[in-house]
Amino acid sequence: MISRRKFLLLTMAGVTAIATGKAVEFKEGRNSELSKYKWGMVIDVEKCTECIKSRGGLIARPPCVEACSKANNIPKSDRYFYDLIAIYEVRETEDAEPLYFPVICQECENPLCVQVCLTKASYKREDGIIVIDLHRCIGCRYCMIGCPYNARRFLFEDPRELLTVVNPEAPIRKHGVVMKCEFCLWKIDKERAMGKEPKPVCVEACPYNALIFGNLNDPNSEVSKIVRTSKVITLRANLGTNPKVKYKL
Amino acid sequence: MNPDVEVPKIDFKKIEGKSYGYWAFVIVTGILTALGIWAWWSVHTYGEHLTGLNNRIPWGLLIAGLMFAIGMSAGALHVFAILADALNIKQFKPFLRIAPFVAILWICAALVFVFMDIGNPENMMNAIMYFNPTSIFSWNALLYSSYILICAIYILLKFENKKLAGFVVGVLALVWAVIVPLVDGFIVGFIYSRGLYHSPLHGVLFVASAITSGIGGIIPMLYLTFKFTNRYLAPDLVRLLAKIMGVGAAVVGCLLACELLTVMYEPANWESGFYAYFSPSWFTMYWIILFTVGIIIPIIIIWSPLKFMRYSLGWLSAAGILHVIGMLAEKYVVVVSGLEVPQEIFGGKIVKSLYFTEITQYSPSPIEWLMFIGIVSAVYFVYAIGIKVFALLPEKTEGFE
Repeated sequence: MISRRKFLLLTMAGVTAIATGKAVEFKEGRNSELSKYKWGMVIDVEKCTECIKSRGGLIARPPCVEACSKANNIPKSDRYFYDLIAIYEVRETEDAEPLYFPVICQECENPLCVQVCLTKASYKREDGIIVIDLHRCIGCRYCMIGCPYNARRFLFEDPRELLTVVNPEAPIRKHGVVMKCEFCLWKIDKERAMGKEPKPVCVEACPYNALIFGNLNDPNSEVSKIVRTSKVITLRANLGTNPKVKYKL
Repeated sequence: MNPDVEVPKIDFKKIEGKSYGYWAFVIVTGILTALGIWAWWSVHTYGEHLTGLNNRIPWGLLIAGLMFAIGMSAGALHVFAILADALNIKQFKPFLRIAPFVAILWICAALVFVFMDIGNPENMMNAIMYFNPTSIFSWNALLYSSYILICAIYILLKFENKKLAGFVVGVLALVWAVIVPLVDGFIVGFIYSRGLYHSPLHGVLFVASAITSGIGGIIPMLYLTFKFTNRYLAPDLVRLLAKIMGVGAAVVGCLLACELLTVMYEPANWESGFYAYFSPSWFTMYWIILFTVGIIIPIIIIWSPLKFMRYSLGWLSAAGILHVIGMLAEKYVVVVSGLEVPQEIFGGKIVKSLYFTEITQYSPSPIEWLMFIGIVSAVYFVYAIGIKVFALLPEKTEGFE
């Protein structure tokens, strides 16, 4: 007859073995079609500055931010900042003219958010877009701690109560998970499948054509040409994250 | 390190647990635990806006609590496993049931801290189902669960009085008790994007503070339990434990000083360093609670020139409690101050934004305090029940003389 202690011991050992076995099982889907692309964006800082200045500076909500929030079901809250595009006013000296930088997820080649994610809920697709699987995200917010660009938002409130208009094509989230800019994945995947040149919502909404989106793997794409021929910088380049969002000065 | 050394038979006995004091303790800790569960349920149902967190400071009191609980757990086991199993000091053998039991309680508390902190606990199993080898938090989850298992086997082997197996698992538990706080420290230490987080010292610091806070927590626990159950606790055993804690506390202080000097040596860190160490927001927490209350006063008590103080179990317990408070403050400072300072996205430039460029202060909300107190109370609630149901404590202990 097995004793209670031994039974307890064996049960715990069994559960741990099963859990560990499950944990080291790797099943990642592969889609060779996606690997043809490496989506990136170039942001023309001068044009952005012109747009934001014309609207009164930081207090303005430029069309890209408005369109992004509406299309991606981003709630507007009095208590929390949820916009996926944050505008920064940058000066060399106090009396210098400011430049305005819209900062979104930088879609890093070496993303720290993906490195630290406890459950692989944040992952990099083959086309380079960092995606959050809402069904896997446990809301631990370690990715937000890691992100060098403050590009992630945690939903402290239920967004469904704060949305006035809902876009059924974009993800509709609940409170307790993290969200970020995904280059309007739901839109660009559809447009790519239809044979169109895909564009995120912010790119379409920009009245100054300051945001240029495209395939960095294609040497003939506009983004690739700008990266080759213009002076572009990446943010916090010293960290080695190698962002695919670049700023044209 | 010979497991076959003859050890006199130790009589372990359950406590009676019939006094009013015992039941008052159980009821109070039970009510506080229930309030903690209610607080978590409220956050889970209505949203995390009930906490003091925001998109600038996504981690707060509960993550500091997680790191603190890991330390308490590992430290509780470290010392007794080293003294009794590895060094084979027979006077400490009577604690070889209670030490892993307390370690299990605190590691479970650490898991509850994580569970209550995360926004989407329905998906909690994903932490086990989808292991991410590049995530140090993922390794922590694996280490926490395996640590519980090892401690449980260890305690069962001690119950069964299996000497060799108990010794082997004891050494394994000891190794785990070092690795767990070490890797816990890496949770912040590996974050290279934040100046005040990124430090190789955090892992070592967490191991040192685990040893000391574990002892600091178990001294008053043993003192009060033995006192109220009329058992004899040899003062020189407690004094030795307190001395180990005192030396460890000095090491923690030294490591913290090294960290401070390293941070402040770099001009790029002056602003954030001054904020984290010297600003009115953090001065009290860092210099008064962490250094003075948590390190200096306990050391003064332990090596007091007054004999009645340094040999008094009451004073040594007070030193333990003060040190535990200090080490909780240390975890809080590490987790929160590093987030309150904005990230330097445009290094060296004058930057403004509506949200991300000013120093943002965080204070835990009452709901977060309720969750924190609830989890800590649950540890003592289960402890009180545990020593009544299981024969975990010796009837008496023997001193060195």
